[in-house]
Amino acid sequence: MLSEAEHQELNEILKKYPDKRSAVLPALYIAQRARNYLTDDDIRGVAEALDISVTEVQAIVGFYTLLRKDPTGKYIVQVCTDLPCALRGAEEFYRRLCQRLGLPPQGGTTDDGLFTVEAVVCLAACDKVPLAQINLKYYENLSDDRIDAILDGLRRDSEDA
Amino acid sequence: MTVTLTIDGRQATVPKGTLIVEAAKQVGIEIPVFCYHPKLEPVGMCRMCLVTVGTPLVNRATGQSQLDADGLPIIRWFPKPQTACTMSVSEGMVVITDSQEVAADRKAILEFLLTSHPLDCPVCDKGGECPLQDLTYRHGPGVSRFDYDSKHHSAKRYPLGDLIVLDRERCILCARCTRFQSEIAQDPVLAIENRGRDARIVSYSNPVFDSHYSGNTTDICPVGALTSRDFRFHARAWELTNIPSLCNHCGVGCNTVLSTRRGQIARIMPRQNETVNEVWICDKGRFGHHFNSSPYRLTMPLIRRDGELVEASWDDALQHVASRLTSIIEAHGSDSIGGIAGACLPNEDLYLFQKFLREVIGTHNVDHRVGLSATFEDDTVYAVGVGTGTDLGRVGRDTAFLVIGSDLDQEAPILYLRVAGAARHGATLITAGGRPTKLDKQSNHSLRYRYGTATHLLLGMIHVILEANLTGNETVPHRVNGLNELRANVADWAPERVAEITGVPPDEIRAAARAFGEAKNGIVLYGPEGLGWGNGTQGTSWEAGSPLRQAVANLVTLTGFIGRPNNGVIAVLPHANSRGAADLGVVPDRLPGYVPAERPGLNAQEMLGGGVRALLVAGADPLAGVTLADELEFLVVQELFLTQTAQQADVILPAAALAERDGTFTNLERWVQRFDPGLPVPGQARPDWTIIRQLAVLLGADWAYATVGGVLAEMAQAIPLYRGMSYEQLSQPVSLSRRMSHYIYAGMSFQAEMREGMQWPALAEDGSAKLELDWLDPPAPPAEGDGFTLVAPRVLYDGGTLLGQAEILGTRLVQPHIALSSADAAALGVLDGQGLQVSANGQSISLPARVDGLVPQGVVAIPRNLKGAPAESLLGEGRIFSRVKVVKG
Amino acid sequence: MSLLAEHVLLRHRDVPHIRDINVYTNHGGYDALRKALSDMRPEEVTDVVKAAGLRGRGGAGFPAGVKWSFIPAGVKPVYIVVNADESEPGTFKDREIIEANPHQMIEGIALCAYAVGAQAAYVYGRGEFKGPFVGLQQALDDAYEKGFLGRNILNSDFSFDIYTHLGAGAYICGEETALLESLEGKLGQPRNRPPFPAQVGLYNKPTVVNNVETLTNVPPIVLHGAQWYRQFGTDKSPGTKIFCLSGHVARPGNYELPLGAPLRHLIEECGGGVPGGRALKAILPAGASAPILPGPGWGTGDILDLSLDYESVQAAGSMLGSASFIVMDETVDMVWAASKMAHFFKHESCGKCSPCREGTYWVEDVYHRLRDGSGRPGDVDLLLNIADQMDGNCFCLLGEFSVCPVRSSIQHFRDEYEALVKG
Ligand SMILES: Cc1cc2nc3c(=O)[nH]c(=O)nc-3n(C[C@H](O)[C@H](O)[C@H](O)COP(=O)(O)O)c2cc1C
Ligand code: SF4
Ligand code: FES
Repeated sequence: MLSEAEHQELNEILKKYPDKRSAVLPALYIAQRARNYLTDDDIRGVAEALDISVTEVQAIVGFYTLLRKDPTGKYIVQVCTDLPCALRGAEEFYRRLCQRLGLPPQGGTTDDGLFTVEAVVCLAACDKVPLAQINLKYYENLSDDRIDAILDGLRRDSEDA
Repeated sequence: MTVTLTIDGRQATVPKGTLIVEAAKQVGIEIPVFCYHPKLEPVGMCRMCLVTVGTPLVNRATGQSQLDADGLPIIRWFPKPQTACTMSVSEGMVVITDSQEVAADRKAILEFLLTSHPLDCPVCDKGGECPLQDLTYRHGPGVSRFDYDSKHHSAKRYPLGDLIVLDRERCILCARCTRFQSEIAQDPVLAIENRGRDARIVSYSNPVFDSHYSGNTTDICPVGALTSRDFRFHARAWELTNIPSLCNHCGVGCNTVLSTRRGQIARIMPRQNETVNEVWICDKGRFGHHFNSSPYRLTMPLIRRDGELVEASWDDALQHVASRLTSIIEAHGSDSIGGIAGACLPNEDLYLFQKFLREVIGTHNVDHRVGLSATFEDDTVYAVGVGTGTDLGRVGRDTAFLVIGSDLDQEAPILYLRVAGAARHGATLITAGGRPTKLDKQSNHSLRYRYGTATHLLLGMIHVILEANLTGNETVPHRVNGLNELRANVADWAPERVAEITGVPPDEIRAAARAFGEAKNGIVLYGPEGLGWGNGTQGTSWEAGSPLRQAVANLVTLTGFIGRPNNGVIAVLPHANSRGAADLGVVPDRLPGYVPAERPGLNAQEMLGGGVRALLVAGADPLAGVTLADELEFLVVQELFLTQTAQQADVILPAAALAERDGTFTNLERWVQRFDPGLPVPGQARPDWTIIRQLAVLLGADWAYATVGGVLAEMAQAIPLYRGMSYEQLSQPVSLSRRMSHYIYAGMSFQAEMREGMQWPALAEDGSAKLELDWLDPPAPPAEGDGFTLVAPRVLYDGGTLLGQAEILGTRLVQPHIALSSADAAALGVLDGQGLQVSANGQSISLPARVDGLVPQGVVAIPRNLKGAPAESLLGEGRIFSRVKVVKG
Repeated sequence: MSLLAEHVLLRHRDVPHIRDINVYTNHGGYDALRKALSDMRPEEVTDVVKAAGLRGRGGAGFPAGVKWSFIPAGVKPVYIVVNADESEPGTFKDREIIEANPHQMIEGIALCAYAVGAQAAYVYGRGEFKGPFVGLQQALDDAYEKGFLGRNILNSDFSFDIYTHLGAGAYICGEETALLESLEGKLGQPRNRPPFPAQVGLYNKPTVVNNVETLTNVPPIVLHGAQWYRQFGTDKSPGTKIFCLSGHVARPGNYELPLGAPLRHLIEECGGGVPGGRALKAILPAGASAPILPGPGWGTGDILDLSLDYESVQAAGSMLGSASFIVMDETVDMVWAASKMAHFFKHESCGKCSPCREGTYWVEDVYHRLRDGSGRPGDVDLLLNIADQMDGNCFCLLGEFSVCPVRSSIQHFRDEYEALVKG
């Protein structure tokens, strides 16, 4: 369910559109922010706030890859392994990353629940391979050492928090 | 405007805007489709209907088509095949559906669809009436090149709520079901989740698939993906016998098909009738039939001997009734006898029932207004009912609807679909009620009045319409009496004053009145929640409703919305044949055809209150929760079940149900329609009309009716309104050409017989008839002050005798509760589910509270006709609302 | 390295910090808008864009000015939707504009709005552009503050708003009608056309949908005129274009060149050639969505002589599309490359129409077995046949595009497929 502050944030967003329904993706992003995934309650909250049926909002969540219903790590690490990146070694980079994190070759969530690692299709950064988005932030021209350092940094951040 | 085009060398001339697929149908060419359905917006998703299309090359300068060397128009072909279901025809268009290319495309699409479809036709309910199966035989590939092992596997028996089962493997993702739910039913509770091959039909509503119309998706699903829990695995399509019938659950009169097998109803499906139910029925009509085969049906006459009801032969039972009636008449006169018939009996039975009392017994003590019917009486429609030829399925932009005091989704579901559909097609919709209803979502103006002030609201609207001079200038001056008096009377009812009484802001009254008055056509639907304030001192509630009915009549009359198709009034009466009961004089003060009785008899309440010594009851349960008056010596009941009334009877005569007999009903729009028998009668039960006839004969009448048709023939002679109606005419199938143009793509193994009923004309359609703008003072507005207003709305899934036996609807049946707003709940300190006590008139009851966003503050709602009849016990017979005290506990 | 004296679109490469509004205005920024508002009637703006011959940079190459002139007069409101979905594999040019030269796009949008009488624009970015859109929002805020957006722009009676909107991960939302559905809060599935968005678009109102790069071309055109613009490019493909170069080149990146520049220049001069002296085996000129063109050793003639304009690339058997050039050297297994693209399309098929939904799934299934060593005789023809069955029969171009890599890779590299079937 959306908090009072989130409702207010949503009300600001609603001003952009002549039709409430248009705010469904922004509203779902708000609802997803805290946990990186949406619970049925979150989805119901968005449906009520925008006066759309719960079923329709659920369908929308299922359609878009950046909206999730399964519990995920605190950081979602998306590595592009699409053709342009794969030509520059992204698949091996990804495989090595998974290995170092103790994950199966296709990715997954680390045991500490911190990182969900997945291979994705093109991220519009094919000239800066290897690259990843971590919680939708670009990290480009990576090497094994660089991404390890970045993940370490995030790990430390979350320990501090 | 028409357009001429050529399809496979055949010329077709069709209205502009026609889709290619429909144009082809008109020249006998069937283009295969899956996602297309004539009732839904075209989407062009499945690609089954791909055809080759060309248009004539037009010279831009001259606007003429360019000709080739042979003088033929040069055709420019679209580079890719086009979907016949989305493309409209244009002048000179050439369409090819019978080429090798088109055949290859059809085969391709079918092959694609079958890559994800299981090969389980032998065990699939749709087998034998499945468009996918049929089209695969006709157009599909012989073998699949897709790896069986790579097929996707998913849930085979996924329950979509209690009524519908989804087989996800079979679904071809045509979106007919989801589009039906969001476009037609306006319940967007089904959707396609995920994308690509992972896409699947889901429902996340609570309860799952929460819609009164869900069963329709099983009809239009072109594969066996959606089936009803009821029919699944019960029978194969080709083993069924299909009988044209009618639904008996509300006044809409939906045409149905009873599919029977071994003397039982296997399923009920809609039968197409564009002017009544199009191709839809609601779930109550579809699933509420289980009472027919109930083990509790009465099968033998019963006579009370020494206080016990014991089985008897028909001869004994009827003789016993005849001799008791004779002796009571001899001792106390004809007026010591009375009769109450239910408005779910067919016309012929109601006609004979009142004729029996009036002519054989010699009394006007006859009525039907008990139970739900006690809420209101209607003769408004006789004068200003919607014009014959009205078709709500075809009205749009130039028509305005005012729906007042009715929750159509609950009271007359298919009427709800049609009014909502008209709004979708551009009609202006004004809803007025004491609480929000589902239809408000579609309305342009929704007016919220305080209960008991609906009449005042109408007076305010009439005031505005007269002030703005929006009267129907053509008809009104010549045909109407009393305009000046009305003008003088409503002068006092300016919106500002009305606003104070009703709580509806004056601007809203003005805007709604103008929107209504300015339309070209106007239709008013009024229902029970607009009727008078029954505070126990104003006589019966239907009398209290008279000012409202008069105001409705005045509104349509002075705006000239009368006497023409798509203009006039529809009373949302409760039962399958409420209209017939009013038409046929099953009231103490009117003979059949709205002829006043010279010497009115007793009404139902008076009869029940001790006004008669012998009472005949047919198809009604007026003594539910009521004890027999001491004066009543003899009670005869014709029934399907041992109702509370029957339990108190001296003689019980087992009656045949609708499905077991034939007859006619008259629906809310005055369509008289015929239904056929489909099931054997259980035990010795008999149709009500034959029981009445036999009694009449025993009492000396020379009644020789041999068939229901014979009774109707007499009615057609005796009642001017029913003139010209005949049984033969009513069972005439609609003409082949109309059937073609109506043909609906659905999986049906049979051609359900489409019949058109006959509609009697309202008085206003007679151009020479004068219409009266009578004035009735509005009832005193309800006193404010302490306490709450108790409302007893009607719900679809009630707890009545019939529905209670449909196990499948079990979880949907509304359980007794008190609904209230969250603000009131907070003020009273109750949570959802906790107990609340409501008291009025020295009675009180306790029920669980239900916090409901649809109930306005200051109001509590207990639906009518629930198990144990809690609302009725507080309100008394027939009242819709009252002042009550509410406390926790 | 470039054939241009100065960049027209990637101006940040010549003028550092041009994303700062002050830098932008110091270098002629918003002068075109000022000029249009004070000296030009709306139709004149459309006319100059038409005369310049600017073609849509989102892929289809439709003339922008012509599209604008389809907006019916008298139907209000009119919307502009800026397509920043940029999800075609190998495409990353719009992102650079948004990040480094946003005001030129914003000015272009405002000019378009003035030309067609629009009240509002929505910039629809793919969800992954969350970061870049923070910067874009800042640029918009700055433009509002300076009076280039909002009420009475530059004291004229022209008022106009720009809003940003992020998608949530779906390639199909780059297709303009799916984008509109998504923006309306529905599933991002394409609509039937006609009616085209210019007639019935966002919220059923007339709508111009243009790509980021397309609109970024507009300010220089309005400022310097059609003639000036036509000095770049060819007669039918005027102007400059950003080429996204990726894959096996030494220096992948965006390169702005006049249309009609030779492919050799792009790959060798700009990209530094194929590394390691390896042979160029194939290129994809428009990401996954256009046929593969074989390199010199695999096709006939020298592909490097290809002139990079819409007509020439089409004549060579492919499409310029969004000009996302993916370069593959001789080491690339073409069945693998095609299967990557097959996977992409299966993953992104929206599921609305049956040939695309089922076809992309089936195609990937066949690739799976080819690649895991269980290919069967006839599988290559089966792939071609599935492609034939999809071609022309899908609801939108996504499905139609998906057959391109399958067909073209088989056409030019069939022996690699056959090896898998036999082996
Ligand atoms: C599957 C598909 C994906 C597309 N993706 C994009 C995209 O990411 N960005 C874009 O500008 N146009 C994309 N397009 C093209 C748009 O539909 C549309 O033609 C374009 O936005 C029009 O703008 P333009 O005329 O300025 O090029 C796509 C088209 C298809 C069929
Ligand atoms: S369940 Fe039936 S009606 Fe619904 S999408 Fe699937 S095939 Fe179509
Ligand atoms: S696409 Fe025309 S019937 Fe489905």
